[in-house]
Amino acid sequence: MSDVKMPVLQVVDAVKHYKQKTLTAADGKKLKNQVVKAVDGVSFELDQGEILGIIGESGCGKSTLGRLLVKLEPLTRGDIRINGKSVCGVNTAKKNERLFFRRTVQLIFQNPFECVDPRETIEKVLMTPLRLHAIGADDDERRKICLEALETAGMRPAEDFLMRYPYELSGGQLQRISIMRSMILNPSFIVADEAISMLDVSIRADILNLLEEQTKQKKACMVFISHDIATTRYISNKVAVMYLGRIVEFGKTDDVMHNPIHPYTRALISNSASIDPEEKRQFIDIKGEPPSPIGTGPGCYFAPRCYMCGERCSTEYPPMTDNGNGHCFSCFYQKQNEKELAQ
Amino acid sequence: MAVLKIQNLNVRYVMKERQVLACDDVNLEIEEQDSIGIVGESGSGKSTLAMSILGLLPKSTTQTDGEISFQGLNLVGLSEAEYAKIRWKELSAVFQKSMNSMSPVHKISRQISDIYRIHVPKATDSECREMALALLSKVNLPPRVYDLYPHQLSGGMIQRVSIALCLMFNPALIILDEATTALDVVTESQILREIVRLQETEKVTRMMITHNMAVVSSSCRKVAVMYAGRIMESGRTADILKRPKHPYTKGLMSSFPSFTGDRQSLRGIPGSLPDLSVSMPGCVFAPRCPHACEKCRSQRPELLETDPGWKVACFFPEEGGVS
Repeated sequence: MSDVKMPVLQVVDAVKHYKQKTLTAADGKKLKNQVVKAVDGVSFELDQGEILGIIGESGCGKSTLGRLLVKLEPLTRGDIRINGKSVCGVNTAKKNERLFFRRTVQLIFQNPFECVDPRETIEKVLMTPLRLHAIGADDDERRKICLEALETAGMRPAEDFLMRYPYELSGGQLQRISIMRSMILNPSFIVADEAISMLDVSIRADILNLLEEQTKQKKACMVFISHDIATTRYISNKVAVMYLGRIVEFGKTDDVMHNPIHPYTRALISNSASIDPEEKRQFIDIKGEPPSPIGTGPGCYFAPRCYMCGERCSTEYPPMTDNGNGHCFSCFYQKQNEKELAQ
Repeated sequence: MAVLKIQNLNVRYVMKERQVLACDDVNLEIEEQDSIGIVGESGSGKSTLAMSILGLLPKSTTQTDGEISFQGLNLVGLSEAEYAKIRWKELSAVFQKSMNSMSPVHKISRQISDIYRIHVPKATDSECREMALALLSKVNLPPRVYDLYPHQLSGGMIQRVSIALCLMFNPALIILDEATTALDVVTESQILREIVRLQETEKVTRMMITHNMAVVSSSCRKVAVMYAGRIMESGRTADILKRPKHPYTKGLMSSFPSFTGDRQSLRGIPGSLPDLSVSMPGCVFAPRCPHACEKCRSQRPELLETDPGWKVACFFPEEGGVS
């Protein structure tokens, strides 16, 4: 074995374009053969035990990225590697390959009630993946694994839960079950798409803690997709900010949250409401609404709304630059931004 | 003088086999030009409270007792015809999904003038247009919105149209039921600032219903925390969010991840909402409360004033505040 540490997940220039035959523009004109650039060149790496938070407004392509990562949608271009092996070659029509792939990659959805069969008991919900992947010698052993999983998720007494049906559980309890259902397969990579958005605040914290603890314990890595910036800050080690299908800023959570460099990140963070009533903040206003990801470019996608847009911004897309410690951003005016921050 | 005074309000949903007590002895007062936020989780009865003020609860399945005195008029048991006189004019509301509360086949212009003509039946078209354009400019919308259909507007713009509609007759009270919840971060913050600005320029009194503490913190002067149909704590936002006294408020506050400062570990509240169809002799929060004792389980704590303007429904408000 080589000593070089291999990142668990490598995404290299992932692109997802949807073709639209006809499209009605805002002014009522019909456009032909347009391309919706849902994800437009995204690259990042994740190591074992790391949690990457992806934030952005609705329509920025964060959920599409999540679906690409677990191969629910095929890539238009680019490559995704898990443990060094490209997943593009995986043929999900073949049972063996599909099973192997699904065991390494798992997805947690927003609404747990929609991702379990309402007519199955919790026992069946949890046992099915184990049976499919032939984990455990017989059903007794599998039941033991399920009980253990329920105990770890804080659902005691675990035996009581096995015989229940999904409608007998609350949203928080069922979300725990859907997390544990993913985790009992020991996946190396998990995507959590708005996994806590529909839960009540008082139970969110426990679910977040469970997700974090399980990711660390199973030595997996996780992509946590959310529109809630404060939650993302709490759970993730790294953060990627997306705007119209591209990552505009990427780095360690504290770097990005406390020293945001890209104007979009700064606007987003300054606008996220705080629970501290005495905090005085300066709001950075951005004009308009996010435009649709059709016919973007050639300049920076954010330029039409940017408060510090210059001449260069409308002609070329700023390249991703690294300021040394893994904090990357794509903006021409980072020097100016840094200077402002220092003041 | 209080614009709205709610006294001992009970709202029950009556079904064949059981009754659910959605609002349990709610007492609340809203002063003129004040802003109050009602916070609580889903199922805490905050929307039921709003609906009972607006008279939108189905009469056949609900049973409302108590008194809602709105400018001296008791809203409980008010007939539909009498409600029609005050709706929009004195009392108006903005709901979460304005996209769904607007007609998709009529232009914004038509929808604004329709409402205007409810109370001013003889208004001419040019009067309506003038009024609508003035209204749109109040909420920072361009005049072109007047001739558009709802589907041509973004979520934030539609929400602004809704807010404009509810300001039409300068009502004495506006109720915003999760009005910013479905919006994006930047749009939400813009709308919230808009609402706060309108409060100063238009002198509106408002009631914000939300599950998000951050919304209350940035836009309301007072707050009432609801849990399982009862008000747990009410008072000034600055006091309650800084030093909550009720264990439930404390729990709720520590469940919100903070944005600045340390990343302290988040703690949730164990357990879940009690079944509201079973009556509870003690405090409704006792089964989930870390400080609950025998007294909490057998006796019901009243909402009592501990400091001026600060009411807490707990036997041990200080203990709740220490840990």
